[in-house]
Amino acid sequence: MDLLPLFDWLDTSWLADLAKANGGVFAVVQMFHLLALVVLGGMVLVLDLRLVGAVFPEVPLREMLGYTRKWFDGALVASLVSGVFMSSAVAMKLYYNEMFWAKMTGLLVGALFVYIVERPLLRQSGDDLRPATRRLLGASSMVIWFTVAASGRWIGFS
Amino acid sequence: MLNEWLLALAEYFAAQPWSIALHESIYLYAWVETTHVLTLVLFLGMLAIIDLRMLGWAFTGLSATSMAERLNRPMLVGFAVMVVTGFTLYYAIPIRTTQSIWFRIKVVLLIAAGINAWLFHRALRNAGATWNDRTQAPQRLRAGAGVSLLVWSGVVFTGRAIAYDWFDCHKPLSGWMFWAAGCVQELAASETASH
Amino acid sequence: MPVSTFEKIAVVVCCLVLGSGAWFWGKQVLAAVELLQMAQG
Repeated sequence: MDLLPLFDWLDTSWLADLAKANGGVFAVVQMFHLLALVVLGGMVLVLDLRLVGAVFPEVPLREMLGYTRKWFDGALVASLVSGVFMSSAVAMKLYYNEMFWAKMTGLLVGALFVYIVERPLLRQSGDDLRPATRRLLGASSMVIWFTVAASGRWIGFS
Repeated sequence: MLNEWLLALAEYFAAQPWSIALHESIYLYAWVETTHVLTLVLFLGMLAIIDLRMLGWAFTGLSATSMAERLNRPMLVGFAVMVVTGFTLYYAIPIRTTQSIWFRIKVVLLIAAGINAWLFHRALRNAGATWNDRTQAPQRLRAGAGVSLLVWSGVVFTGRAIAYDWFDCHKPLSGWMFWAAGCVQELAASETASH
Repeated sequence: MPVSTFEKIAVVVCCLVLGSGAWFWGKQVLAAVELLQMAQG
């Protein structure tokens, strides 16, 4: 799937004009991107720590998922909106950046993992899951989101 | 004056071999900075969850004090890493950092956050465990949690702004800005020029 | 309680994720080491 036309369009779109016009606007959006990352990461982390049994072992998994769900969803939306805005400012540069694609891959895997595997599985089985499965889920989640965050930061260095 | 002393301290650090090694190395500064930004998620993530619980906005089925107790350890581990990496980042580029208005505001906010945290913990001890079944914490603790979220958001914002050069000393700034940012030489030059 | 099919699939997915992660980060570490060696050499 060739995304070059999309990035080319994005690079010259009205969104890009807005994002490139004022360095302050870009910076403030990026700051909100960071805050969204903190909320998203925090919710992911607390659920993963629960999965591996490090915190709140007495709280049922389904209940824990219930607490983190909406905050994760909201933070993800905020990250995506702020992310698209920032990407439009440097769209063509990002298209040729290896770390950007690593981050996007991680993001796609992360979204699929959360919405198609993790949540349905936790809703279906909850605490009936074998301990090994729980730990695998927690570890996989941490690896995915760490990759998204780290490769995201590294875009700035490459 | 304070500005001169801070600049002298920064110049002393800047001359140290490790400081030079850090900002000249290909990857070292980037790794430290990445660790700082990523650990932010651990530290502030846990803190935000505690604050949100105190405000009654999240995790309302769980006991608030128990949440604060349990998440305290990962949060403090994160904080320790933040302090170490944060100091290392300052140490790597001491002069520019010292003369960054954003860094200065960030330090003030960090101190404010520390005071708020101390007040919060004192109020937490005094409040006892009687309110845990209610969704919201007592007024004083809610205020402390709200202040915490605002101040730490400010820390994140100002921390990110340090990298931008809008108000760097080499820019044409007003005399007041030169003083606030500690641009000692530029302030002296602008004062001489205006006489 | 027997393990559900879904759980078994999830375990496979997790192993794929962890394997891919190890591959990706292993690559990064090797590239960084190589770069450092070139810089020193």
